[in-house]
Amino acid sequence: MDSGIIEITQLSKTYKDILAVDHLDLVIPANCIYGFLGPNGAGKSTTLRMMLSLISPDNGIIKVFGKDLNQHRKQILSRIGSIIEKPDFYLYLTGIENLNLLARLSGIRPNSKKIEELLDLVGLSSRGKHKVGTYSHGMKQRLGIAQAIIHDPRLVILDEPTTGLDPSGILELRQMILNLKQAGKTVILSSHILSEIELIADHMVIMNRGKALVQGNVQTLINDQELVVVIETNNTPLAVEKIRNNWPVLGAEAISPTELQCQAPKALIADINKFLLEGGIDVYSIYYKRKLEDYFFKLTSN
Amino acid sequence: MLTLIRTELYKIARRPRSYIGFAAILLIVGIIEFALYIDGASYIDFIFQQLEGFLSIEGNVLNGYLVCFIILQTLIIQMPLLVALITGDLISGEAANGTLRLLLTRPVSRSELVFAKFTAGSFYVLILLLLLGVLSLSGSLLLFGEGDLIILKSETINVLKGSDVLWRFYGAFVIAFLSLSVVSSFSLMLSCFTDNSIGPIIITMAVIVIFTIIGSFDLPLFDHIKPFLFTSYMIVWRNMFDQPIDWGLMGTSIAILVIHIVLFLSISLYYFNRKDIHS
Amino acid sequence: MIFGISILMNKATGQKAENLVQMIQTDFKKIERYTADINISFEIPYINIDPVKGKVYFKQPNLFKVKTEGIAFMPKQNPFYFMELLNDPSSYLCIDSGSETNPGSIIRIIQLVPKEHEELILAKIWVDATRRRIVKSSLTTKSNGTVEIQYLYDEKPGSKLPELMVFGIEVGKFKIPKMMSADLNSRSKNSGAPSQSTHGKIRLKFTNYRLNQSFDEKVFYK
Repeated sequence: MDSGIIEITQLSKTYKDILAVDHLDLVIPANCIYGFLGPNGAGKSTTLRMMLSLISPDNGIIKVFGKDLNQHRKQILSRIGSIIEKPDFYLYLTGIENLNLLARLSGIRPNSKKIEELLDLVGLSSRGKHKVGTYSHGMKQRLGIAQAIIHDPRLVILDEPTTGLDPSGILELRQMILNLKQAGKTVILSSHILSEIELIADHMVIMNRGKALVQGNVQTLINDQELVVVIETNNTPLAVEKIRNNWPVLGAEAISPTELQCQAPKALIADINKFLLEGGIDVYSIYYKRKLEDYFFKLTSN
Repeated sequence: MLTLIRTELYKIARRPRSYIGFAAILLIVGIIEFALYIDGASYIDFIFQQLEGFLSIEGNVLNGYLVCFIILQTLIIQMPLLVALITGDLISGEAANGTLRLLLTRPVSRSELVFAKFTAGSFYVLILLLLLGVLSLSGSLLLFGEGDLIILKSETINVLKGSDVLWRFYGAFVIAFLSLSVVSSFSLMLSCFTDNSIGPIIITMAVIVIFTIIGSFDLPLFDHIKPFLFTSYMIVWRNMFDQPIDWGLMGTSIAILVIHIVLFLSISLYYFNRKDIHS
Repeated sequence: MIFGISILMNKATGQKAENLVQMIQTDFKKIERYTADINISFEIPYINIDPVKGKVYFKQPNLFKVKTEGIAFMPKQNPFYFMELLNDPSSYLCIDSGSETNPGSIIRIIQLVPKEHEELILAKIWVDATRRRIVKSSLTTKSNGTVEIQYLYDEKPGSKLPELMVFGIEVGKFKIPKMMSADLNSRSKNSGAPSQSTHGKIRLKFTNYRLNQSFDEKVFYK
């Protein structure tokens, strides 16, 4: 395997009888946005916690920045920022006090100007002096991002960072992540919102039952797949029959009384539309399913 | 390490719960001093009524030293609770609140974290004892004046000269600090085992109460157990008021208390370094 | 010289008890009041206490108060309780109970039985008839039992006030409730293994007597 910012070799972790992570091999390249995907219980959180040494593996090696995590833990963690699960803080301290405290523990002297800039960046400049106990979930999420980057880490691990954010917040976060990448950082993003991963991630791994099913460049992985086209008509059974007769390889099938789906390259969609209209079938809408979503469900359902 | 200790002290200082202990001491000491100020004479008469048939007592019996001693005696159970309320929560409370993973994803070693929390907890104990000392000793001396200290044992009475008392109180406070450090290290150890905030506090108190009850029964069966109970050595501060002081026993007790602290801390370090953080 | 001493001794044994008591009373009444410095030491079972310094105050007929710098245990008996009785010879029966011989003196033993007294049951005194001073007393009262007091004097001629008073007391065994005791759960050897004896002594050593000098009498009532 090519070396990356994180190299995981034969990583395993068992809880009682459950193999949470099963001989995982993973390479995360530097200076990219890396998507971590998988259904619940796939082993994503366990893997991320092992990367942050919150959990010790039963077997395997984790190397970060080329160093063994087991032996260079403090040095490695000083260059990582993270949000794992929901962001929790000291509720009896203000946002600024929390950031000050965490900055000190990360080995940097807190700079009030920098903290102000950071709060401004995450949209909390007016709430910095309020106790975190008064924050909404979305505000805590924003503060979580602030604490993850306060010490200018080289690697940022974000587990479900968009949870609790409103649409504008999600947009801002997306831009922030892209800016982090542009600043030369590596961002590991674990998310259930597949569209987000598809939109911004460069590389990804899809895990299931503790194993990595696929890993690699996002576009390369999903462009190998054909589009799944969904067509809404006034006579779906007839439309399915006609498409099957004309293009048997498309695998047309009804998915509801009014919709059918088939796999077709983009270039064929206009022809299918014209064919149905000439056949006397009204077409109400044509759209294609998210590539990644479909790819994900196909992989993880097997 | 210093940064960690300062951080832990800062968190303790900013936490509202930390001030329960101070408020409790203020209240308890205030109530006792007030009550004795108003009604202390009849309390003394009640205590010495058995002697009244053949002896009378001259001098200022109800003085600041006696009041301080009475206060310290009554706080035997309360002080460990007030300590455990804070130290029992130092790790498990963070786990329950989710801030433990916040700390452990920072470049801090788990051992350093345990030591820092123990140090901060010990500092809290020290401040608590200082407050107790100032209120109970200085406050009592101001209200009741100086005098000889009369110590009642179950079958004897010791009278210590006023000039010979103050250093004994200082020694008692030092031993009390050690004793409460055992409580603090014990509750911190329990705190490592669980992600539940209240469990270690309750278990610490239950253990102390049960051990103290066993220690107070003069049954042959319990006599075999008593030497192994750390609570048996926690009350050795009272021996600072013996005449003469059994320095051998003091030394042994102090050593056993220190051994308990080291033992509980060692277990904490061993377990916490291996623990998977799921909270 | 032997003849002189034997004459004196004959004179001493020959005196009637009542007369001897009255002579002591007369001598005693010459001292209206006094104060003195005292050093009190204790040998009391179950009580460990170092010597204590203080002052003693006396005013006729029987006001006696000890004021100490620290805590002290004093017998409940006032040693001069019976002296008030002696003011009125008709208020008591005087019984001559014989005599003892000490080197250089004859000690007369006299019992004083009050005819009517609210507190005093019996006063037994040992009187040095030669020097006309009490060397020992045993006072029995209703509320405080019997206290024996020894009086030791310095060798100055005519010295009527004791240099040392030794109170002998009987101490009952006491038990402090466990919750008040400071040795609950104690592992100390010095928890206070009590002695078996019940007899104790309190010694008052008098120095620096100040006779018939005024002092604040509130001291007797505080």
